[in-house]
Amino acid sequence: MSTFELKDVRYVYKTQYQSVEAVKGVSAVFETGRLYAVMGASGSGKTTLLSLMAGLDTPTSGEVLCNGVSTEKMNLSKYRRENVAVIYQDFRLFPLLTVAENIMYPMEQRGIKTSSAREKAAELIARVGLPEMAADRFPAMLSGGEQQRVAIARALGMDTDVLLADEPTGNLDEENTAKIFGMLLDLAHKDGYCVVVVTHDENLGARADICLRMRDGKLV
Amino acid sequence: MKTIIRNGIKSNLRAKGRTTLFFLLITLFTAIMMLSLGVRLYCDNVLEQCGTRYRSIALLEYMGGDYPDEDVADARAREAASALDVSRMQAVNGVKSYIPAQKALLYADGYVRSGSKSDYAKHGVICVSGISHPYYRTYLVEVDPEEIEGESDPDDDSFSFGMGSLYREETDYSRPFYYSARIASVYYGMEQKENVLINILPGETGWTPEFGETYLLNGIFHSKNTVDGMLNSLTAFELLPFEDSDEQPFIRCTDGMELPEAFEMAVEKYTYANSYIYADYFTDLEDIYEFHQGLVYIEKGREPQAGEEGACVISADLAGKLGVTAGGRISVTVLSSDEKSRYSLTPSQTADTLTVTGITNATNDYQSHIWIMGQGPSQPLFGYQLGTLTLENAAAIQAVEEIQEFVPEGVRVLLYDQGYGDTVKPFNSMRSTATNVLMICALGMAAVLILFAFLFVSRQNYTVKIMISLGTDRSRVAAWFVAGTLVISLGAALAGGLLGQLGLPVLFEKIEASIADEVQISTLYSETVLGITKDAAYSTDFAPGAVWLAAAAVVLASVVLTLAFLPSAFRDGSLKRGKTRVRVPHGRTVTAGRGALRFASLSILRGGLRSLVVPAVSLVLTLVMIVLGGIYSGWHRQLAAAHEETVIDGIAVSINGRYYSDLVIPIENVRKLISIENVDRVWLSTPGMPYWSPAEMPSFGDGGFSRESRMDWIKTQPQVVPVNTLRGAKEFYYSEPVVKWKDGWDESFLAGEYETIYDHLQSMSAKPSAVSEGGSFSTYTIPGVAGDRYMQERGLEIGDSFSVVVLEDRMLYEAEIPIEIEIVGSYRQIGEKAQIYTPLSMTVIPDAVYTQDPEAHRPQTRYEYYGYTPEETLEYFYYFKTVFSTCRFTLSSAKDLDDAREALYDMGFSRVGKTRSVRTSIVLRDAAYLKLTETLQRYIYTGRIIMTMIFAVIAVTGFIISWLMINTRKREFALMRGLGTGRGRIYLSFFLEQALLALAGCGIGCLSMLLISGSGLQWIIVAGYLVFYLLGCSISIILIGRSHLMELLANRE
Repeated sequence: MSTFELKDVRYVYKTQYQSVEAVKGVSAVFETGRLYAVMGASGSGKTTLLSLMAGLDTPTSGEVLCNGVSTEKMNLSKYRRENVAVIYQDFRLFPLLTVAENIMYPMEQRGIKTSSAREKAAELIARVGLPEMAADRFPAMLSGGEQQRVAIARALGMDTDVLLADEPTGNLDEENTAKIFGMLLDLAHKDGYCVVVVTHDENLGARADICLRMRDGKLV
Repeated sequence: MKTIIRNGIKSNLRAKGRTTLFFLLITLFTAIMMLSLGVRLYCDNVLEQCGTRYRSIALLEYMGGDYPDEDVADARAREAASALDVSRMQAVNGVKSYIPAQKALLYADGYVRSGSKSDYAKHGVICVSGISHPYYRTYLVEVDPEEIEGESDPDDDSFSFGMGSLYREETDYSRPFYYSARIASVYYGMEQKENVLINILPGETGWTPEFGETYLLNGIFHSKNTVDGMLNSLTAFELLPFEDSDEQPFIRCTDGMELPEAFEMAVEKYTYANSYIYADYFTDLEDIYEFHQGLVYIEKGREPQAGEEGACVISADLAGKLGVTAGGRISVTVLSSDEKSRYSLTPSQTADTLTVTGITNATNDYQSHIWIMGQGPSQPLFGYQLGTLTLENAAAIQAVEEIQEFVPEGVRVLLYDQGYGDTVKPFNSMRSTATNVLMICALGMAAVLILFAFLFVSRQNYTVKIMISLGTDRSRVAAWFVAGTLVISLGAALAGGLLGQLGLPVLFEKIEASIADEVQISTLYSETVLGITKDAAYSTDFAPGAVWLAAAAVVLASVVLTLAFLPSAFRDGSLKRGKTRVRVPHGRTVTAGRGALRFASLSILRGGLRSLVVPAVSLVLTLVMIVLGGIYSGWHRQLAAAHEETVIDGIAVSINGRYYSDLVIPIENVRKLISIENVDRVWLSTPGMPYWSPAEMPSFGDGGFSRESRMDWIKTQPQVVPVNTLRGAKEFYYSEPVVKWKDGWDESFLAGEYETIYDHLQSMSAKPSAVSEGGSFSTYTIPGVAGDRYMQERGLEIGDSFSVVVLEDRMLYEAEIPIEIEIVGSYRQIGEKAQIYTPLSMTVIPDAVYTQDPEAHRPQTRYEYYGYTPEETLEYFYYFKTVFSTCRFTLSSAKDLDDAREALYDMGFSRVGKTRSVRTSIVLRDAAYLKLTETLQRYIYTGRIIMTMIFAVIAVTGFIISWLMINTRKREFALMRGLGTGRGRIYLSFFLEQALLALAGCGIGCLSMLLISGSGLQWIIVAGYLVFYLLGCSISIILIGRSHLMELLANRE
């Protein structure tokens, strides 16, 4: 069952000085229950592709279809709130919110009661393998691996089918990289998420269900 | 190094947003600083020129009872002169020197004056011939009407009527009254000519001339009309004994006879006594009042140079009489005055030779005058001018005010600054404002430059780290930053400088225009502009190059600050090992609240130091605004109170502004004054009438000159002065009256309506035969306020009545009128003369003063004075001929002062030194009011600019702080967007956070001020601050929100 579909997606960065076509007519289909690795050299357009899938912008031409609906026709904020969850290389946690509050944030946006969100956050903290006491800690008190787990927990809390991860292990050591990638694999295989991971790491690429390679803005 | 500098410049130029912001801020502040510095330098230039063009002096005068008599020997004036604390005066800031009045009377060889005030003015030594037979005197003898009843007709020509008595003409054949003769020669006699006929009165000398003989005589001249009983109109010469010799004052002349010694001594004495010259001694001619005021100026020759002893300037008439030209020499002898009489003169034994360096213009007021360089001889003080202060222009007003506080009572210090104060006032005001603006801008600029250095240098740790890692040495790093900041500050300073340079000429034009407008009206009739006003001629040429100093200072400051902040850029950028310090917030997970408010609250609570910045800044700014706002509104309140509560009065003065009494103010001018809307009360006095008690009048004998002597005596007597309030009398212009009243009486009676003395006279003359008819005249009784000393000397009490005779000479003839004064009050008598103050209606009917339709009272039958009925004549006199000797008035409201000035000007009233169509000069006593209001207005004006600038600074501060606060949180902003949070909620979160922080600061500030001072808060100002601050926040948030989300997320900070 297809969850995501990219139809001849093109994206041009326009600046004052130049226009750069970062994505050049990419078409692909992403399904739930699988982990996709998008690999390529720096500047090959993989992060831009992920950003378009994350709804941070719409393609210059072509379509990003989520459950058959083009993001062009959606409210992007709502799309980002309800359809996709993104995990970043640098975790992107609110520094002034506790771990629990960071995880609760997207739930609250969806109108879930605070008490329910609090309980769900506790579950998610446990699920990503963090101790219970981590709930009241601030991101600055955690290691990189722990912060990435919080980011994964926050993504899971968004209750979407799609998890997008941009270099999720880029800032982590080998051990943590293995753990986080294992977790993402479990989410795809056991929990049925459609997980799309942008990475440089060939080892991770090899462990993915499907590995897509990009070069010069195109899938090869 | 070139590469380093180039890259430093590029780095800053490429940080477009920040660079543009700071470029604009520095440009703006530089332009304002240049403009304000330019205005200040412009004002300094004008003030400096005015300082040399104008000269300020102050006259110290004693306001005695006989002021402005210059010949009076007033003991109080002399006491005041000796009581002056000269060293204290000279210690006052702004006082250059004090010059006591140095006046003397001199005699110059060859000078003969016309008209003299000395006791010997009419004395003379003459030789007469062609002496006639003697004439005998005819005189009046008072007769009792009852004695002649039935024997004579009182209406025939041998009887005459006067002062309520009947007189009969009789002739005294017991001794000769006078002889007629021809003046053969004049040895001494002012304005006497030879070969004219004259009447000679032997008086008590026993002179009996032999027919056909020639006689040498010593005596005194009288005009015919001062001698009763002469049959012709010739001048009379009364023989007088010598004062210094027992010789007879007459001697028969023989051929070849030399002038006998007694006569020669008399001639010498009269010559010295009458041919006196007024002399003033000086060290700088420009400090002498008449020269300072331009009443006299050197027409030929030059001014004596400093220290040129024996040099002098003489009046044109004196030069003519002495036949001296500039550069010539004259010989003078000092004439010493007697302590009691200025013109009782004794010549000194030595003569001085003086060099005439200049000759003045011809002027009646300064005839026979000489101004001599150097110290004058010691002479007793006559008149009321005690001395002159020479002052520094800029401090003159304050110095005069300060000195006025400690001079002896009755001494007036009057400033003459030739219009300096009025001319420089707007420039001083502008200079002060420009200085304040400059200071504020400098502070603002300092804040901007510090922030600029902080962001462009101190925060560039990452760049420094890279440079050091690449082996760049510190001096090159410094060059990088200095070049970067220099290019921005230099560019902005140049741009601001150009703006300022272009704006200055426009600004100067505006200044000129506004000053011209201000000068038009602001001080018309003001006492602050007494005396002549020199044209405000000054050069506005101004080298604007100096204002570039402001731009240079900005550039220099930016470089200094760059270097100052450089160490902090190195601090975190070093490669030293060590743990990175990460700030960890405190707190536990909070589940309370929802949405934007929750996010904002959590950010505030956990923001640490960041959450303190905005409240702290808001608190400080709130306190500053409340304090400044309080001061500002306090000035407004004080100004409103000054407008409402100040009473400004005006006085009629002489054209030179020095005299306020003995004026001739026509009633129509008073009516014009009253018709001015803002004129509230008018205090008036008509000329005083000398009064005396018949019992106290000395005997003047029945000689030929008894009438003249009697009149002389009468005119020295105190006066009955009709006034409508005691403050209308000249004696109470400079001192408050202290009065004890009879029960039930107060000052208001002076404005009451009583029968005029002229109506009383008319009722007397309407019944010329009342005496013969056996009737009696009613006594004219009027209530009055008498001097306590006079009453004490005569054993009078309040409530008593006493009879006096007054001399009234303003109608058709001089009349001596017996009146009765009822004492209803006694005032503390300060002066020598015991004036009695009576209601104004004694001499003028109130309707004549207050009517607005005097023409209705003009007789229509004939326009000839004698053609009217007595009633018409009197009415004509009241409405058209009445004059007042003093006039003082108050304005109903000080805030309408300018309207009053305009009204006075439109009606044509004269000003001091400026005669206009209405020949009554008015001075408004507004110095204190002007000083207060001008100070307050200057404060308010400056305050308004400062408040505006503070608001602008606050707005910019709000913008910059919120921009900085929010800019550092781009990641959070982007993250929220990335997590699908709507823009509205994100904006609201950040806005609420900033609003709560700012409100907290303002609230604490307001509460603190309320608790500390308990005064009203400046809610509007605080609310204004919040609006500006939050506006800045909103713009910052919107600007960040406009950034592309993908760029925001890509930002690694």
